Amino acid sequence: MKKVPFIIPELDLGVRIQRLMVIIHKLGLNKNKKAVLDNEKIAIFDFLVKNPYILNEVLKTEGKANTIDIGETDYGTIDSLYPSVISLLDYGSIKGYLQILVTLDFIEIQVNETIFYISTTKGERLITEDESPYLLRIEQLSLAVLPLRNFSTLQLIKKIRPFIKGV
Amino acid sequence: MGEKVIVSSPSLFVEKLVIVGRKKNYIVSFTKGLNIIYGDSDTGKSSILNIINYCLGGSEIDMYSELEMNGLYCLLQVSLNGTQFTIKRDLFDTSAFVEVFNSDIANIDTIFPREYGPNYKKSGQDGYFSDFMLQALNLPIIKVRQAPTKDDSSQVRLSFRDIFKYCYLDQDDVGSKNLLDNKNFSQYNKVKQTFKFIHKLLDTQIADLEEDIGNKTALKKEKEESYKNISSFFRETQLGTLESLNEELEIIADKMDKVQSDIKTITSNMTSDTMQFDEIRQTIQQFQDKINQKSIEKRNKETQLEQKLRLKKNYQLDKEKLESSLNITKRLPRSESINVDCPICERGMSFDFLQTKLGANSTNTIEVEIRHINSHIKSIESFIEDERQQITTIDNQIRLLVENLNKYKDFLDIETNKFISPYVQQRDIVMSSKASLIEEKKKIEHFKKLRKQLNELFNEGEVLSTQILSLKGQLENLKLTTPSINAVLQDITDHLDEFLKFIPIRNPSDISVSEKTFLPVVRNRDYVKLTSGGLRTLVSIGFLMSILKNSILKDTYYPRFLMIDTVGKYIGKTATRIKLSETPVNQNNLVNQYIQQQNEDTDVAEDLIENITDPHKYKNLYEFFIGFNKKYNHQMQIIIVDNDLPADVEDELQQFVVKHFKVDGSNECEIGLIDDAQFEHQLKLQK
Repeated sequence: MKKVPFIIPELDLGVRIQRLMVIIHKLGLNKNKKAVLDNEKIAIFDFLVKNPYILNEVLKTEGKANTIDIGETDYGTIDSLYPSVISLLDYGSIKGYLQILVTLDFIEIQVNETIFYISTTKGERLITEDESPYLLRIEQLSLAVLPLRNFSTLQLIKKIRPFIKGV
Repeated sequence: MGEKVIVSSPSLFVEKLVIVGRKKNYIVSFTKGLNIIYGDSDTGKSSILNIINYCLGGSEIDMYSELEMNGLYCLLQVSLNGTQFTIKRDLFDTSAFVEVFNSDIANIDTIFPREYGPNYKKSGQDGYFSDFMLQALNLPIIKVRQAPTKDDSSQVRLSFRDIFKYCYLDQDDVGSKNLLDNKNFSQYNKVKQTFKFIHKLLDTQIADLEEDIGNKTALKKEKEESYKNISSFFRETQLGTLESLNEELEIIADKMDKVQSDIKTITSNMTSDTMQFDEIRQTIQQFQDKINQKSIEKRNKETQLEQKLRLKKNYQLDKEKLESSLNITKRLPRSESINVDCPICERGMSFDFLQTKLGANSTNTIEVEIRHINSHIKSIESFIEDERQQITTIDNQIRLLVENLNKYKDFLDIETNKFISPYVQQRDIVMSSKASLIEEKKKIEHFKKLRKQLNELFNEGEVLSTQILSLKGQLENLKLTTPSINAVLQDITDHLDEFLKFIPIRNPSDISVSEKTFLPVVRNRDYVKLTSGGLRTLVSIGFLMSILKNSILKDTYYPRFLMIDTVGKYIGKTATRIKLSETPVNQNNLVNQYIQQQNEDTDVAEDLIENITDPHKYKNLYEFFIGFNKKYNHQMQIIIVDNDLPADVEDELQQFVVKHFKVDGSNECEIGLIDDAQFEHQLKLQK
């Protein structure tokens, strides 16, 4: 298969796994140190972190307005105008990324009726040693997702759906 | 014996009835002699007579829904002893004053009316309406004893309405046992007194006449005095004569024409001379067009700018992502040759392959891509800058154009204002002249009314003179030839006899007028004892026709006017009836039909005995009217209402028909008196 001579950033492995690692690191364990993120929830939170404008609208409906700053690059872009809905439900790709992370020992699995994912020490170190602006931004956005962590997958999708017409 | 026509009984002619309505006026015109109103039921035929009666002082009006919805007030143009009057009365407020204008309907706006109280309970500015009617008909205003046989009985006025009882037979009166209210004992005494009065048989006739002459003479003196005073007042205040006022009006009319023409000239001059400004207007329009064009250009540029900005943002975000990815990728461990499961199908695959499939790029590739994105960002920034500059340039151009446009606009405004102002001033002056002329005209027309009012005084004085002369003549006559009651009753009997034989009724014998009741007697039976409703109809009509005829031939106080509502009451008339009467079999059927269609106030069996269903009687009745009209048409007026006319003479009678109503409006007939009442009309058609 011939590769194209340019990179689509959103399809770059580094971009994807970085985001997933931050999400798992920040949201993987609840107050009682119990693992809470499964494959589907990770996919949904990945979607929200990728689309801060939509995240902001969902938080507003939960009475959490003004939790995040909407930056210049978060709206008015072509992506924000027409967000890809498929990525919200693309569990197959997410599984692949998680597999890589598990293989590289950046995350580990906990099984409790369902497979949950949590960060490893190695994984944490990788993220914390990086201080790029984009990473910092993802961390900020991931923390903003906390109020939504306890909703079920179905509930989350219901909350997100009204805002997927684009901004 | 030759029948000499003595024209000395008073005359009352109804010329026109106008019901002034909300949307239109409803007009009925009449002529001297015979007038016929006929047609379907519920079309307002009886209403016409009812309203005439109301205008002539009746206390009530029979209101019905079409009239109530569409009518406002009524005007009745009458001729009383040859003088025209218009009587105006409100349809709804029966206690309101009655206005009387000394003119026909067309001219009521040119004079002031007199105001009369509708009854003796309420006096208008000019007195009571009944007195007006009596005076206009030159009838004495007298009082009669309520109980004539008792000397100490109180006196009551004999009003015009008492006399008019003999002039109007409504639907209930025709053929009624209670004709002329004879069952009401206390009322009927007055009715009998009225009968005597009409025929100049009252004991007090001479004294009454003398009193009347005295009153009229005094009134005439009063009017002459008023005339003199008002005349000299007008002279002192220099109120012009009618001729001079008319001349002034003509002058004003000429001036008005000139003023109108001046206004026209000014306006047209103003319009034509402003063409010099057309060039400036064109230039202004051109500027406007350019500005619009530039505005559109600017909007397009702004849209493009927005798109470029959006693209730049995208590039910036991509760059941030890739820079972050670069950091991570550099620190990822070297790939290991292990096998993993495919995340989709769970088949085995190498880790390297999975990474590649999921978009792993070398650090070199990522760095190259970042460089490319930087270069894209730089290009797009330069485009954005270009776009911004172009927008600024267009903005400046628009501003300049707007400045120039405003300069031209201001110039145009000032110049046109300078130019038009004098025209506007001129026009204002002329308009003000016009307003003054209109005011002046109104004033003079009012003065004319005042003049006419004064002339009226003079005319009334003249009328009084004539009346006094006539009364004096009557007085002489009375003194010489005291009429006897028997003679009068005999005359009326003769006429009634002639009528009943013309019809003819069955066994027209022993016909007279009772000395006691002043009601007809047939076959020696009093009118009230006649059981056949049909016979009573004929006799009651005949009786009033006889009184009318007598007043034409002799000198009476009867105003030679008669209204009869439903001449054909109880009488057989229609084609179906003709058919029925030709088939003597099935008498029961005939009786049943009668019972269905006739009033309960008749003895059906008696009607049959009288052969009232004979259509020839009905035809002859109308033949009588035709004959009567031929002989006396200018000397009297009869208004008849009926549901239909005898087929044989229907064509001949058309010349007398004043209104013919048909509910379906066929044959070009009106649907009713209120001929634009749609809703009720639809209901009637459905019935």
